[in-house]
Amino acid sequence: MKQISVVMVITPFVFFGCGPKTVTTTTKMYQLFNTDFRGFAVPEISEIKQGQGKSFSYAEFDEVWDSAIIVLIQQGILVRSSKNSGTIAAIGTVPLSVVIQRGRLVNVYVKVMDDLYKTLDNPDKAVWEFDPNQLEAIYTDFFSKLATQVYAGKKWRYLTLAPTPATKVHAQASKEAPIKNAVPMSEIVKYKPHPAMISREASEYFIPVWPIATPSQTAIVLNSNGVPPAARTAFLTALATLSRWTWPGTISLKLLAIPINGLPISSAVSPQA
Amino acid sequence: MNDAKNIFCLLALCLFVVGCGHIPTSDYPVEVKKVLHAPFERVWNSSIQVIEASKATIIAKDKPSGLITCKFPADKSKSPTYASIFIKPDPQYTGSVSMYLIPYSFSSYPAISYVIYPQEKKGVILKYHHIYVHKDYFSDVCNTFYDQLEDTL
Repeated sequence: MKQISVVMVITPFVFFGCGPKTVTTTTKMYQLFNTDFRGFAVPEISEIKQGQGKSFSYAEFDEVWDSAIIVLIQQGILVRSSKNSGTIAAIGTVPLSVVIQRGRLVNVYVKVMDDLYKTLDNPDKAVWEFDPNQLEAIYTDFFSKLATQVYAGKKWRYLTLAPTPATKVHAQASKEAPIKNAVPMSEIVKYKPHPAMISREASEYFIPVWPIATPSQTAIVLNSNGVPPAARTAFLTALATLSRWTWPGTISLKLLAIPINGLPISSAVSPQA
Repeated sequence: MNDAKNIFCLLALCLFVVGCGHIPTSDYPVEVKKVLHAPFERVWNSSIQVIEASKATIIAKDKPSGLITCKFPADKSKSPTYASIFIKPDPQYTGSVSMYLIPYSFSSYPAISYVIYPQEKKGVILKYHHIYVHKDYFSDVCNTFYDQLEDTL
């Protein structure tokens, strides 16, 4: 009995003393939330231009600017915005910085602020690194939504989730809610291809595959303005009253789509609440 | 006799299905855009007033854009709520504005992931953040804000 007690006392020391040291750290992004984004500055325009850019013809700066805000506001919170300099920083599913430039063509550049995923204790290491395919998907999604809002928008009805690196849920949601009247991307002048941003040292990190642990996992946003045709209402909306709580990372987005029962609706473009 | 039994079973099944079924209804009104019949300047000033009266922290505001982002203190949700408010003159109604308001709940996950740095032989417990639309607080924040705003206007 005494031997067992001794073993029980010693065992934790063996595990914790000889095992790897554990420290608690956090990312720059997490720290920004703790400090209410004080001191946060939008990246330099030259840095944002390293992302991806496109030109919007037949559109005024104000139209593109307002459309960008409407798109980004549904993907997260806009922590910085300056119409004079044409820059926006949005923290959401993916932290994005955007610059919109006036001219004969309105040029828009977007870049993922991937440095916010770096840890505070070791700024050289990030907890998440995007591979070129992920970046391409993020940029394409943004520009697709922006083009829809600029050219065919005027309505608040196309929105889906931006693709997130680790979730298939988002991709599925995007497929189920295709953009209506979207301007084909081929009609937008591609300004500059994104640089190949190669993920470095990613293999040395253990990135958990389960949804709840992915950084900046989900900004669940509305994908409906309440007027989808009855045939396109997802069946999971019937669960809306049963599932009272949204559990981050695991909820079906369809829970947030409004269920309808086929009753006639207002045809007003801007209904008043 | 068998036919009668089958019909009875079928009828019972139908009653069961119909009785348990229900037309889906939503307790989550999706109204993120609201048209306010007041000029931009008044709506902007009133919005600032409402935010300050709510003891919310303004994270960013840009009047030329019509954008305000603020953080409402933790209340029932035990976690803060962030909201971006976008006010723009409504092109259809002169002297009116469209207001978009989307509140996001914030949560963090300390110690939820264990990342190993093999070269340094140490484990790191990461703190992740997560913002999401919580359907209950969404309605609460929107309704409260709009009510207060209309009172101020």
